[in-house]
Amino acid sequence: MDPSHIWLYDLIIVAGLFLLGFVGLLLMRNLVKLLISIEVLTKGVSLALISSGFARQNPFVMQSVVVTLIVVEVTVVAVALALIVNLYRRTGSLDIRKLSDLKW
Amino acid sequence: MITLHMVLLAAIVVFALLAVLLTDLLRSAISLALASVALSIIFFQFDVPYAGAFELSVGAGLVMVLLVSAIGMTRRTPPEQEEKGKPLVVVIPILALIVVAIIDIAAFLTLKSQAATPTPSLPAPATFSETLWQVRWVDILAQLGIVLTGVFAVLALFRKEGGLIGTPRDESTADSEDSLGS
Repeated sequence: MDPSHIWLYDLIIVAGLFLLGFVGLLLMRNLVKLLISIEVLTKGVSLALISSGFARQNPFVMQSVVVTLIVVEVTVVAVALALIVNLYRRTGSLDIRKLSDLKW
Repeated sequence: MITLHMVLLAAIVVFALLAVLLTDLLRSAISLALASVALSIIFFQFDVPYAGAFELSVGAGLVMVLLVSAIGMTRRTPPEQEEKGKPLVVVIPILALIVVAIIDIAAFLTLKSQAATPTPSLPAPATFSETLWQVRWVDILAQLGIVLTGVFAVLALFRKEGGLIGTPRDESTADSEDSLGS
C-alpha cells in the first residue's frame, strides 16, 4: 500500500466522520444520540492518528496515543451515561430541551 | 489490500451514518459497535495490533455494553414536535460540510508541505512497548488518573442515600423536596 494515497483516502473519511459527528451534535435532541455523535467524532480522531502514523512510517507513537484516547473515551462514555441515567430518573425524559433548570 | 481498505472505510461511514441517524437507540448502539469493529480491522491492517485490540475490546465491546445498559435503564419516549428551527436541518449540514472541507484542505496542504521538507527527528523506538514505557510514560499516569476519576464520578453519581457517610432520609420529605426541586 502506498502510504500517501491511503492517508489521503483516510483523511476524506475522517472529514466525513467529523461531518457526521458535528451534524449529530447539532441536530439531535436525545442525550444518548449526542453521546453516540461524540463517539463517531472520536472514531474519526483515532483513524486520523493511526493513518498519519502509518503515512509518516512511525506508527508506534500514534498507537500509544490511540490507546490513551480509547481509555479516555470509555471513561467519558461511562461518566456521561451515569449522568444521563441520573437525569432520566429526575426528568423522565432524554430530551435535552427538558434540561433547562439552570436557566432563569 | 487496498480494496479491503476501501470496503472497510465505506463500512465505517455507513455504520456511523446509521448510528447517528437511526431513531432506535439500540440499533444505533449496534451500528456504532460495528463501525468500531471495521475501524479495528483497519488498525490490524495498518499493523498496529495493540490499538486494534483495544478498539475491538473496549471501543466495540465495553462501550456497547455500557450504551445498552443505559438504554435498558431508560424507556422509549415519543419524539416531540419540532416547533422551530426546521431550516437548520438543511443549513447546518451544509455549513458543517464547508467548515470540514476548509479544515481538511488546510490540514492536507500543511502536512504536504511538512512532508516535502524533512525535519530532523529523534531516533524512533524500535517497538511499541519501548514507545509506551519510555517515550509516552506520562500517558500511563494520565490514564490512571482519568480511570480513577471516572470510577469515583460513577460511584458518586450512583451513590445511595444513607450510605457509610450519609444518613437515611425520610421518603415522604424526600419526595416533597424532589418535587420542589424540579
